[in-house]
Amino acid sequence: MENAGNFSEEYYDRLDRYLDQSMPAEERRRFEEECAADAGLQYQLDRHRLVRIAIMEKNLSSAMAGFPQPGRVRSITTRKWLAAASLVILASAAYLFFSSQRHDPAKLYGRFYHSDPGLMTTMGSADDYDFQVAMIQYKRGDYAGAAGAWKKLLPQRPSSDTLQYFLGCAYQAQNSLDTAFAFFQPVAANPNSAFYKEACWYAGLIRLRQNRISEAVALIRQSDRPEKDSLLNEIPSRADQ
Amino acid sequence: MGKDTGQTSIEQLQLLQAMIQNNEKVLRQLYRENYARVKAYVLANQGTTDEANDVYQEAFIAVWRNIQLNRFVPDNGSSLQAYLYRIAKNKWIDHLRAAKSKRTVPYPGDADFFSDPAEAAEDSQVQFIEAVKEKLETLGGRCRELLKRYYYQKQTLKQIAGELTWTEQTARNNKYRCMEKLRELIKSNR
Repeated sequence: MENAGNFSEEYYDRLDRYLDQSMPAEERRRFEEECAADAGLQYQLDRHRLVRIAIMEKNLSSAMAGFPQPGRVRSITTRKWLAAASLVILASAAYLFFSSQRHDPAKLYGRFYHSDPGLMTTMGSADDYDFQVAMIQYKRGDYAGAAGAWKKLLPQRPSSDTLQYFLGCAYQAQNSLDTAFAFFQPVAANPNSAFYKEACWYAGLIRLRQNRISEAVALIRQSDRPEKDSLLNEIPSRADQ
Repeated sequence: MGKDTGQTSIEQLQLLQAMIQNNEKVLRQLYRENYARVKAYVLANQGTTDEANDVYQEAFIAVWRNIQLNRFVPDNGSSLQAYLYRIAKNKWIDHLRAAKSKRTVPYPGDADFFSDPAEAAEDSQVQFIEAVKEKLETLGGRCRELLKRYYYQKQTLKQIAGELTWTEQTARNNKYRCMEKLRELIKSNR
């Protein structure tokens, strides 16, 4: 880059399209031939690739500053100040928090609901492929995409508890609670299913969110989540509204 | 993120693609999920939590960069997570060696004997990237924003125009001007 005069807009555009792999095959082939014959062009292409990487890397570093920093140890002084400030804030916030959140089903739901992380996906048998691809979508947070793909598989496997369970998960993650419950229900009614206890938990949370407390309690009791007792203790004891 | 299965999984390929596309959600997840293992290694080998954090951040950037440079290709038995761990581990070993070498006298000719031309070329690429990153600091805020959106966030010129209330042609012209300006800054360094 540094040896030539000004480049045209088209010149950059061409380099970008090549590096983004958005060139049509024939144009790409011609471009590669040109690079092979012209060391200058190849050099500019290599340099441009590195400039792009530098721009991206700079932004990645900035983005990483916002990533969770587990275990970062600050200076002693900072830690002391933070500890003191935290105690004051925690003490005053705790009262307000628990007095407002305890027993409120919607807030309890918000605190206790965490979407199922999904299953590990590997290159498996061909008939499993569509399920696995949808699982990847699910794990990437594309819940609508995953639900759409799994629904297409449902006519072939209408009684699959795996499909029903993850359809429930995908709809719950989109906050479509009635649809999610409809998928969880048969799994939560089948103690032989591998997903029985998980389905009970999520179905119970949905009923809690919908303020159908006695159904919620019955379902949550069937789950084996370590946090279930803590949730049951906080669920309001009043009758359904 | 699945465990290493001894075969190139769909998930590994998708993960790699997401890294190339700078999918922040995936980057964040990968970052979070692999930290503990690296930290445990550093702590077990004379390091502190702060040092583990630093080495992990460096390793994470290095892995991302190697993916962008096509230096990492997943094959049988090698996963991105294992690669990240290996890079972090090597960086920590280098760090320990460097600390140790400060206390020893190098044998004359060691540097030449061990220098590898491929490694030297890689070093020069990394040096150039670092120099460009420095120059980006002096580029105007509007240019930095535009280049971030185009190259890092992979927005199209049309999307950028829409969000910055420009016409698509203005976005195109501005991107060109910013790249030329950056090129001038890089030239001035040499």
